[in-house]
Amino acid sequence: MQRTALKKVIGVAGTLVAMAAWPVASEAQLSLGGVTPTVTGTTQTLTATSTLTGQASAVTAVVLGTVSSLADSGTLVDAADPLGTGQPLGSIPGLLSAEALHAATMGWSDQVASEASLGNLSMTVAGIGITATTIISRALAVSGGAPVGLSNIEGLTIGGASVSPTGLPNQAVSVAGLNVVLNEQIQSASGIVVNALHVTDPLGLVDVVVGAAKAGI
Amino acid sequence: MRRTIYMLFAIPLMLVGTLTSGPASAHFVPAPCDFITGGGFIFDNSGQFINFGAHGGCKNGQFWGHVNVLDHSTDPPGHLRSTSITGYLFDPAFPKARDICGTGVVTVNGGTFDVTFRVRMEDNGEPGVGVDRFGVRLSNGYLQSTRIISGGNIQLHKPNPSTKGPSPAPTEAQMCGTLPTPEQGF
Repeated sequence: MQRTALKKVIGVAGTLVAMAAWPVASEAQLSLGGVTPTVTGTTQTLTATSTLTGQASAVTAVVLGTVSSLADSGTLVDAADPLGTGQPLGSIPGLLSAEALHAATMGWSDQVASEASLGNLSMTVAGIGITATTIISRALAVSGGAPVGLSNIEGLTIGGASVSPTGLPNQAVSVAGLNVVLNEQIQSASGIVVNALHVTDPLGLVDVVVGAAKAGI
Repeated sequence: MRRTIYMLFAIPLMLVGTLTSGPASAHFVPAPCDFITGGGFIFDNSGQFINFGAHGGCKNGQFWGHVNVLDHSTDPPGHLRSTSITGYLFDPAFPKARDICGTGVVTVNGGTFDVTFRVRMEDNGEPGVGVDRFGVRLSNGYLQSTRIISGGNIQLHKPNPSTKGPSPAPTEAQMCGTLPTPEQGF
């Protein structure tokens, strides 16, 4: 009887965790083309307080409903199994190119850390060019503490004009209808998602996240 | 009595001498093992961009990580892509630095060839620009000596007792062959 109840608790907890979508741009992805986002979240142990979630990706883009990713770490499932990937060059034809892409997510018994970075970003969305020399996002979730997000965006230009990130979360920039959010941070009860650069076009056809890091515990 | 006093002073001094007289290049796997991650760029001696993105550590009794480096001194840029990680090392002289050794593929000037590599990443605080350091050395003689990054950030993460390296820990030569650290002067 107790075992049955425990299974129910685990099932409910797992379902709740699985509801967390990755990356947060997936909300837009759903509205764009009904794309089912990659679902993250894995129960490490039977206790709800030790559920780890972690993932990082250098680029995730949705163009006309087609999802493309560059340097995606995959979903953290175990504190003993850090995940990471990297590639020297990456591109999504017609949209962007970047260099030295890397993404990693690591867990401990009491925290999760994720990080994504790339260099020499060159992107064009709705005819507007966006460049950056370096982009990094980091997410850190510590058991019992508030999650922490951080983005480094250097050498950013939008439409040929230099843009200075304030460092504050969710800095919005609008250029000719192009919506850009710098250091986008979405906090939830289970952790944080950090999108260093989130770009959406005015027609809702393109949704690009550059430098995504997610951590939860 | 004299013998006792001698023993009280001489033995600790001998121990200190033993611990500090090892070769300056003695680098070893940190125990417990930790992780280092980072991305950004340095400038080479002629002012060209060197972009990097890398992470390393221990995992399931092995070494873990990826290293990618792009050198803009050629057009198109030459790049290193790691294919295996063979070492992760601590340097007592630079306790906030970790070296990652491995094998990789270099693509430059229209050609591709295999190399072994050794990169150094050092986390000296936040923000990383102006304080953290990065360097890379390849088995073909290529060297960007470890220097302060001009962009990006490097993060040394705490140890994770559940992610161990190989046991017994390999020697520096087993991990990195004859490649010295990319630190200046080596």
